[in-house]
Amino acid sequence: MTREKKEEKLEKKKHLLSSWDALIKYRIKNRTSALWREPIRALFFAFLLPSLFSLFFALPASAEVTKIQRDEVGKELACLCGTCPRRPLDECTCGHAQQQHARIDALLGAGKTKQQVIDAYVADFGKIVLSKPPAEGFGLMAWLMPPFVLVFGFFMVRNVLRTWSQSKPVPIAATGQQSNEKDPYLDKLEQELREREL
Amino acid sequence: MLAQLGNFVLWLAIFTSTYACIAAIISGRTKRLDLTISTERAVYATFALCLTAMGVLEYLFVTDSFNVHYVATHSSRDLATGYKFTAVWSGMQGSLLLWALILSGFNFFATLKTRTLRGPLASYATVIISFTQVFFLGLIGIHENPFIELNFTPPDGQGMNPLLVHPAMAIHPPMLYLGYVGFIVPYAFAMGALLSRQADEEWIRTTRRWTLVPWFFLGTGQLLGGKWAYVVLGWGGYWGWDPVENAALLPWLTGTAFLHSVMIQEKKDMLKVWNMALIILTFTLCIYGTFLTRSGVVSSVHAFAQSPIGPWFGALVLVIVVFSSILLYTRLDMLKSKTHYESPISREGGFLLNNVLFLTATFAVFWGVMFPIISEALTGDKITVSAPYFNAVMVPIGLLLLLLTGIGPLLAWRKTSSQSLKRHFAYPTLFGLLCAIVPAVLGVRDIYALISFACSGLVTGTIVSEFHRGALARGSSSGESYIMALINLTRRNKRRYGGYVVHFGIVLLFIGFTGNAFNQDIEAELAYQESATIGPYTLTYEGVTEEVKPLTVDLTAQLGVYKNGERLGTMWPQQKVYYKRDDQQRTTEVSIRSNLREDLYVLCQGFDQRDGQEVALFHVYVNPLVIWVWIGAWVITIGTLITMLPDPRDKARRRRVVGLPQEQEAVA
Repeated sequence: MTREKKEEKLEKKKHLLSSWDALIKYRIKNRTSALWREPIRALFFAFLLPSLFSLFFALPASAEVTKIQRDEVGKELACLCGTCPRRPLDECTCGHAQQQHARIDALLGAGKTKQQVIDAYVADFGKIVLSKPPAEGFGLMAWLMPPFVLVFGFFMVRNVLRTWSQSKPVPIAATGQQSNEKDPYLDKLEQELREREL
Repeated sequence: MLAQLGNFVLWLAIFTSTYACIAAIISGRTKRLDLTISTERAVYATFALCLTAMGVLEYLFVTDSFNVHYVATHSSRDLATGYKFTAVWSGMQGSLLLWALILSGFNFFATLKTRTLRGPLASYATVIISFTQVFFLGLIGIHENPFIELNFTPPDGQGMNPLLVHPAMAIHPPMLYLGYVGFIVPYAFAMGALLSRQADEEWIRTTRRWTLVPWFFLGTGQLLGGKWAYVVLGWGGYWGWDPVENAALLPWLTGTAFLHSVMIQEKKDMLKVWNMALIILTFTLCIYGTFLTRSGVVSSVHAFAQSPIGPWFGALVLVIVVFSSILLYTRLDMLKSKTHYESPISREGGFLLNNVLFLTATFAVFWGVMFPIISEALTGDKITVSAPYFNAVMVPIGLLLLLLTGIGPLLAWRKTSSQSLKRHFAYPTLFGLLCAIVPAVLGVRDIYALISFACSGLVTGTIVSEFHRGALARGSSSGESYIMALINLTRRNKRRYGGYVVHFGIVLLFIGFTGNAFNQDIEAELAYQESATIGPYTLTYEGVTEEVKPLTVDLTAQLGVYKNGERLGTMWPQQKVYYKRDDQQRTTEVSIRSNLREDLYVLCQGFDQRDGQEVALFHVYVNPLVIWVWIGAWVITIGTLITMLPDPRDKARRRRVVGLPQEQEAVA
């Protein structure tokens, strides 16, 4: 891919950014402004920010962010377009999801880590934007209940089997049930199978 | 005029089903033969009337009768005739009428087939089905009447939802409804058994096939829905854990548990209460699924079926749960088990484990669907529970179930000796291990995929071993050739060996599901003659054609497909623009090249300009093993058909008359 094409692609992605991306940029800008008040940090950012800034334009974001990186973030986030069943962003192909892909690319390209991008989304939309319940607070219940039910089920089966084994066995013939199922053909087949196994 | 006729027929059906319900209650209590016969006739009449109502609605659609509100909002002149036919169930009113028709059909055939079992049990079963019929028809008549006329006739209709204009959509809803509705027959007979105090195994034997039919249709309906999602929705997958998909999965899971669990009752006279509870749960989940689909309490791709009637279904779920639970509680004394077991390493133990796993799976899905609502209600936090959660929770449970599918059939009733275990499991286990080792050596590192391959190998091994041992045993006793022995073995015990075929179909499904672990996808923006590569494939964009059709403008991109420099063929993904609609809705028609190894799946996302040159935007997937899902569905179909084939022993049993003297039957 030529440099012109890369730049053009970057421009296109920037264009796709929705209004709340501008909001985030505004927040970042404000936070940075506040940091200027502290001399040591000011020095640090005086060096770092221009470096990042030049890096951002020297190496276009889209060139840095691979689809794999984007999908790593995307699978943690849900599509909130309102029509799909909140499909993870790495799978969803709707228009809204494509906008979010561009936004994730831009954020990752700006040097944000996976967690920072996710945090940015949570800050904007709330926990609803996470594709699965967080494993903390009440969200933990979502994860714990199915294994709990499984263990409880095993426990119940063990108790039932124990109760049954402690009961006095009733001879099959006495129940009269087997007669309904008795089939000479099956009996013969089972007999044949037993004999072959001896 | 025709709409008025449809309306009249609908209300007549409400009357006949109400009569059938009341007459069946009286005939159940008094055992009056004349009233029993009258009830049956009312059931037949209800079916005929529902069929007529549906016929009238179909006619209104096919003849573009846009003076009818439902027709005007769900069809258009340009719609192909075949789709006009299926457009009937593309909205709330028509789909409810289809539901009511299927319900009346089940009532009709169940009544017809169980005439030799006339008596309180059958009468009370009719009460349950007819009551549900009254509910549905009443809801249609009062809230969702498809025969309401406009006071003017629009020149054209608004058209069908474009997403539903697909062949799979023609049969997906009816099949799902056959599943949802069909579970009412075993449920009604279970309740009939409790009400008539005939809680022996009769209701289970009577309804065995009536349970298999809805189980089959519910499963197949979901797979068809998956096929539709795969081809139409264009996200490269077939199962997205949509809440409404989940709602259909719930009764299928409990229904599968029930199908296994009843075998213990039939063979060993055990688990009577449990089986009652399972069928109650299954039918409740059927109505709960309807409630989810229609109420809009969860966001879903099925949003087009939502309406304010959700609370009515919520109320019906409540009525079913309360009524069934009280009835079961008051009849507990009749449901005592008679025989006992010897060892946990037995078929009984295996079935119990099977039930625990199926119910855990049911709970996990239910919990996932309801958790966002519960979370918001209790904490105020809006939470999303989507595919990553369900995959994380359900994959281990599914693999445990698959493992049990391999182990269960080799366990003997009452007790399995360790010697027998070793002998029967040795080869299948070796084969299973081989099925995991080979892909591991070839570089597969996904642990779930390796476990899945191992379990699939084990189950296949046990199935083959069961057929082989049976054929050898039969061959040696009858002198038949191996092939004939195999055929006759299956013919003489359709239920057992048909069940094994179904299990093999499930194995194939799992192989298909496992392929998800190796999916690849790329996005490509291609100008004329530019190429993109994914896996072993190279795709070259060869241009676009535009075709104006009555409903759509079809933009068809052409892609040449190459592998190792050799041209394999051409793919034509499409964008369809519904240009006559106000919203200019677009749908995609993916192009798929499928073989036993993988699907090459291409979605055209649209067209754009780059340097004054037109480019096409593609999303390309390589989805390994997908075709095995559809092959598995066919194998399950064949296996289910084998288990449902008539058995001479059942015919002999049906000749018995329960509850009524033989002379009365003769008079009838």
